[in-house]
Amino acid sequence: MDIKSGDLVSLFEKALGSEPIEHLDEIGMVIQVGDGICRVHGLENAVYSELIDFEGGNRGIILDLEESYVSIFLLYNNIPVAELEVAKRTGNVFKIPVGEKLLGRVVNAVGRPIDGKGEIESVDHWPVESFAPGVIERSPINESLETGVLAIDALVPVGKGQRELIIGNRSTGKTALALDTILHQKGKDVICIFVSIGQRQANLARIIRLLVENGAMDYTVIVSADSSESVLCQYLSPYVGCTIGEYYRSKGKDVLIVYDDLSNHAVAYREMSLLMRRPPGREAYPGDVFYLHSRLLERAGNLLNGGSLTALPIVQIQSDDITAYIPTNLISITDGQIFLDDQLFKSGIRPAVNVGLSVSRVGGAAQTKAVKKTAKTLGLELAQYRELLDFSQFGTELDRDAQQRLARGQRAVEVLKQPQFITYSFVQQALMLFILQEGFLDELELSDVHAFVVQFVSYVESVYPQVYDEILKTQNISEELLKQLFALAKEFASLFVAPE
Amino acid sequence: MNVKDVALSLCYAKAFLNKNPEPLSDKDFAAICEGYSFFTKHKQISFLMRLSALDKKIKYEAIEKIQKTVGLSKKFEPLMSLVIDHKRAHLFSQIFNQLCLEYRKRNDIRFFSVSSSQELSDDQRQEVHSSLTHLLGGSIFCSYKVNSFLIAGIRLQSNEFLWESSIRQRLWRVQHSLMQR
Repeated sequence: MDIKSGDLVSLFEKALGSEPIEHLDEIGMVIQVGDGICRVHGLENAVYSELIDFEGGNRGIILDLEESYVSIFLLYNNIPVAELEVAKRTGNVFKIPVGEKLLGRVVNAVGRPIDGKGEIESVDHWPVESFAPGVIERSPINESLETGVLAIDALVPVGKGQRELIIGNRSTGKTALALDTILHQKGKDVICIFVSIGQRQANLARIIRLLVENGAMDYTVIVSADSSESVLCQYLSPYVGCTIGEYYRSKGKDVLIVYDDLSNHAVAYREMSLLMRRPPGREAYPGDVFYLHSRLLERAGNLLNGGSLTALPIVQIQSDDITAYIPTNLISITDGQIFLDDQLFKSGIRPAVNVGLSVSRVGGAAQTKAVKKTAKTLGLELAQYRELLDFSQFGTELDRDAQQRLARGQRAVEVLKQPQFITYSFVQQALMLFILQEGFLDELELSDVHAFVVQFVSYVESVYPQVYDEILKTQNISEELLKQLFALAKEFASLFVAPE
Repeated sequence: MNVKDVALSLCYAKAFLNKNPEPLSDKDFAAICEGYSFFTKHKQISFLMRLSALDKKIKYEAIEKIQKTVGLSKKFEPLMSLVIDHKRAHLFSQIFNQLCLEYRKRNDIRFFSVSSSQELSDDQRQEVHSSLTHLLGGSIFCSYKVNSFLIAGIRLQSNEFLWESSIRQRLWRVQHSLMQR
């Protein structure tokens, strides 16, 4: 059939005829374009953080309002914005799609999938900036969030709804610690969100592969804004992750969110602030860099009507200097920190948790009774050990008591060593700590300590499952059970054969 | 375009209109618009005005000639002298533009550029005009042109507002949603 172009045009015009002039879009003109930023004249009624559409297809967010222009940061690097291009108000703030189908997916900072598994069916769109829950809505932190890492669960326990900072030099195992925590949540009905900010794509690919291989993607969402993405995307990504976390929390679920890392986030915000010509302060960061992170981390918490959002922000430091600007800010915002020591890491103590500088301000209340009971002297023993270790390095002759304390400390350090991707349940941790506390390791060679504790745990688990189950059920070790464990440990010690 | 220049020009324009609150005559308004298009057309004049090596007298002389060419009344002389005294003669183009925009805003005057894929009939033009008047109020002036790039549809654009319903726009949307996947 022969169709004339005029017929087609009128067909289109007919289709378009139903679109009434209900309202006109408010527009402005791009007067300056920079690196990820443009300035628009007009848009007189535009509001802060409003989403703006450009005629060329790019989008941006208003982050600065001046008398004669607004500064807009662009979402996409690959869509050019030209001078004199029309910028349209949308009347909306930036929102991202949320829904149950996000689980197991990798999304970018605008909520679009980047894992090649097709579109994500979303149920709603939530604004990325929202108010933190008020004091009335919050519930005290009283339930433990197991990380599966003995050094942390015993000494700096994390509770559901807590914000615990992971701080350390580069390559000290910060991400590995966070990943171990995610892997440990398998079968625990905890949704995990991993936010990667300004990292290399190869790093992210390795993390995704690791999570897939360990079956952790089933309960994990990854939000990524790699170093090649726009500075706005890197700035938005933690808020996007937090919004996704809040969605699951609103459904009554426990959520764990890892921000890897907030140093890159602060750097992205510094770049934006300098581009907006805001006055630089300490280390060239703007004055509101504290608010940048406090408003993000305040959104974590345990809610009265069910659901919790636990945050594990990561921050990188230089030369073990925790007094830098961003680390001190984050230390004061969070409910404690896990300090990973470069020296410990290099001397083979992994995870390289520096017990002296690590603290958990609220997690103690949430610690499982069984672990609490068996770890009560561990902190003190390690502190005494460190002090005596320094002292012994002078070649001083030590008395018998001091030598015993040194030996106990060395064994405690051995017990706390843990290979990557192997996590322990709280029962296993309680059994390990029991063995240490009761002095069953004192007579052993240092090289046999690890084998002894691991074998003892599996001995109890397989030969005396009723004991294991009792601890699991009650989450406590009663006096009677303690006596029984003592007998079991003696029995095992007589059977133990050190590996060659 | 320099952001600071835009902001400064707006200040000059606002100051002029505050000092002269009475409405401008049609002739004056047309002269402002003419002044803007003159400077836009002859960009080298703005550049030369920026040169400090040029004597102030020469700049005054040049501006006087431009004033006569575009038909600006004596009312504008203090503004022009002030701008030259402030060594900001290169801002004239922007100042005229901002004067136009600010005057239109203050007096609720809007100029719409109406582009359509086909020539609009008188009835259709009347319909567009009355719709805009009904929606925005004030005085609406429309200029009409045919833009075949729209494929089919219509686009109404002023300095502040935009409304478009065209095949081109829909194809753009489709293209961008595909690009983002």
